[in-house]
Amino acid sequence: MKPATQKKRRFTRRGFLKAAGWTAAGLTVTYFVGREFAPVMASMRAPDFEEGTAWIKVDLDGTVRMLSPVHEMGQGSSLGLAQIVAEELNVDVEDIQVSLPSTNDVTRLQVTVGSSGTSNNARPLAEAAAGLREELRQRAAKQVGLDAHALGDAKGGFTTPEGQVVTFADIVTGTNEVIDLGDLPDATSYTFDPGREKVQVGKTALQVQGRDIVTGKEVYALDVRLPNMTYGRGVPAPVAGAQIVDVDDGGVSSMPGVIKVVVDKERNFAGIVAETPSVLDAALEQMTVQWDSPSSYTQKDIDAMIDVDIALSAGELESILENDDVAQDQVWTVDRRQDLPIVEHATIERRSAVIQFSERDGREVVEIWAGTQDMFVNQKKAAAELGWSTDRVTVHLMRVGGGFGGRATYDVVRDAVLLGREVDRPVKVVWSLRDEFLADRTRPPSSHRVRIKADDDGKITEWWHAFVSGHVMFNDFLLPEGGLSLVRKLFHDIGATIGSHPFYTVDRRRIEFTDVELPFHVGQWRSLGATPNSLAAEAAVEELARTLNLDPISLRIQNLGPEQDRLKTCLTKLKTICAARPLPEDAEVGRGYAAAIFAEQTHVAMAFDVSYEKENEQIRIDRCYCVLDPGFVFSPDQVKAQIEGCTMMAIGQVLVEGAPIDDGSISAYGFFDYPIATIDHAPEFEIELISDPSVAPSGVGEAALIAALPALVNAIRAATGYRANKLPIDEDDLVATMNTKG
Amino acid sequence: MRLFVNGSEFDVPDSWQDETLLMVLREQLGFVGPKLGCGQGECGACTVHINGEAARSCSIYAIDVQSDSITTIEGLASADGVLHPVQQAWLDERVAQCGYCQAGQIMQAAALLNEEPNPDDQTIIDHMSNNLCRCGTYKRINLAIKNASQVMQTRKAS
Repeated sequence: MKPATQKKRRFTRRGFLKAAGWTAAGLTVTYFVGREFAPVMASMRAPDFEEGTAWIKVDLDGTVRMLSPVHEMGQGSSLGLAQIVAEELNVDVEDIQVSLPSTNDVTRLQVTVGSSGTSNNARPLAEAAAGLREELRQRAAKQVGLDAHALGDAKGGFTTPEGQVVTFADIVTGTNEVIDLGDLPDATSYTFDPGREKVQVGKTALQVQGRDIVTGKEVYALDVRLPNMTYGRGVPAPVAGAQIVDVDDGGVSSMPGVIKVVVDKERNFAGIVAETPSVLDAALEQMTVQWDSPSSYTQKDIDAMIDVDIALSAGELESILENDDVAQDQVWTVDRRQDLPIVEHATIERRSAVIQFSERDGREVVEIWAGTQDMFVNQKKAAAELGWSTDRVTVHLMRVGGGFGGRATYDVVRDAVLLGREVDRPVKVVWSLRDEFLADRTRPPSSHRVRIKADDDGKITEWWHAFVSGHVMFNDFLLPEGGLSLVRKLFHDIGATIGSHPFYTVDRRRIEFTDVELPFHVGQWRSLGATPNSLAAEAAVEELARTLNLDPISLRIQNLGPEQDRLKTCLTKLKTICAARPLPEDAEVGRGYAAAIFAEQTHVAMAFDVSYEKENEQIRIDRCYCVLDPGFVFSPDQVKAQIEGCTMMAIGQVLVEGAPIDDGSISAYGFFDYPIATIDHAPEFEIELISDPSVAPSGVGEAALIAALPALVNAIRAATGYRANKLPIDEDDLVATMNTKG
Repeated sequence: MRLFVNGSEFDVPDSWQDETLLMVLREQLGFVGPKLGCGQGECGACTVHINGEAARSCSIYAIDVQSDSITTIEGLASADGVLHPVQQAWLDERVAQCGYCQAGQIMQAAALLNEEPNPDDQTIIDHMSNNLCRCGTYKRINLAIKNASQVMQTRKAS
């Protein structure tokens, strides 16, 4: 052991993360080759070996620290990854200090979307941590004069055959040291050794920063406070694409407390910086911005644009994704239409950023604090906005108060840049709730028709899914406005078509699709197009079972090929779980089922029990059953939390969610106009996870949503006879259905 | 203007007299635990206690509560750092996901248990249904409230 007085050296290990890329959406960059301009793209590429993102450090006192290799927005990936590091280094996960990086700390951080945070990072992180462990073991062995093989593992260190414990704190001495991967000894990952009993991985653990959250200490972007800070906000465009024609500041420049009125027509921006939030609100109220008015639209217009039957009546749809010569004029066993509305992200945290310009080494630099799903795209775009090199822009990544795909673009940071550079004090920019709804990249409405032909025994022979949707993937997340129209014309939207190919073994299939350009913001929403497509398909399959009077689970299993054994297992387990809870026969209750596969990897089967409350003419969601197989599960409780969260979002979509169109545009501006699920909608949960250490981990943040929506619609159908062809359910229609039933 | 927050008295500059309680707590006094959500009293993220009762701090002017005792999530645990049973239950049930609404949920729940130490499901729903959570942590919120209720009653009995 070293004497306590000796100067210790900090030992730092640069982790490496080599990931498979963002495969969940099947996206390639082919579309961008050869373009004449080079806008900043979303950070699609995961860091490679040299660029290392996850820094694992052992401090002087033996504390293990890691920078999260994912943006954290409640999906819990950082906990699962911390459990892996804990497993490799023989420490308790609660003792690992996990923090979010800034653009100065790491060279690359992949945009956190597609539920790929854990699956992309797990193995490289495990191997990095294992290498570190063996390096530490060798240094410990040197200290005690033994061979490294002679040292066993101990908590936070190693043990000699005689029982002497050498802790990390004993081993780590001297100054800061960074070790390259090539200099580390060979190591075997404990996490990915299937035969090894796990200590940290696979166990229930407290969420990273959980204690800070319950004590109010966790700091989100909105909570950042700097000395002498001011408050700023831009004026949002009333509709997508509107341009500023004129600004009348109403004399606010001389209003007490107003620091600066910023009008930049070239950038289509107008905003104000003020001393306090209320002065800012009052000043913005007084300023008038005149916008040009792109044509207004009605609900009827949008319904007609999206209507799949209208589209089909004009001939085949724009993109034929699969075609096995399905005879279109035959008699179908099931022919079902499903329409979905505009869905908003409706997060509780509003977009916010704090910005501070200062001087460093004789150059002007800027620091930005923001909660985002893509730290580097914000850094690069902010730099481009300022005409600066990126090394002059630092983005501090903050925990995101709910992302769900809506926080991956350059928006509030832009406002902060345009306002902050005009004043010589820090500025906090917080969007209003109205701003949030106005600028939201909504999940576009879609309309589906699924036709299935099956024999009397339930064998599906023909499958025809035609659908029309607004764009999901082709928005400013990928491209600036200039290139967008062309890409939209040349290619079908790959976000809208996700999950549209049936996983059932079907003799002949036809999948066709049209994407339409909508006059409002659209974009990435949890699970992209997979939920609408899955709902259309699985509601039709359940209808098939009903039509043929067959058991819906058996019918599904019967139509799955041998390559779908994992899904069959999920369905079989679901059947067993449900069988243990028989439904009362006399009441108006029903059970509905669905199966889904997310990104071709995560398998899930779900069911709901639903009852109809006659007294208040309402649906009650009693129970949710879920069997989920995402491969190797590192953090089961976090996986369950994601299932519960997806379920609540599905319930919201079925019962209440949908942005109305009124007065020429989307007219949801807050939670009064756009209700979401509340605590009285929450069902009981029965969740079973299938974890197999020999199967690669896959995403869990969206998988359950895809199955929950159809399972719930199917349960309502079973309980009431109401088909819910259009979401959210129409309460009058539901009551009418019940009254007809008698 | 002066405010009594978490047992201490604070001066608030004159220039902040027109601000909501939430803004003064967060921006002037540094109690950022109560969150700005909808800003219209719809979501509950800003919930604090005023004289022990849950209140939406985004919809109250600071100047109107000068003589009241205000408690934020930062002041819910005891002075020695022991968590309030509701906070502890939140950890035990691992309620939070993104965590943004949770301070408001916890303050609403703590006020409920002050009023009704042993709430049934319907009482919990009635008291909590105006506190929104987009991550959908509701089932765990319900469990945590029941868990905290039990702990508080056991303590009281002993």
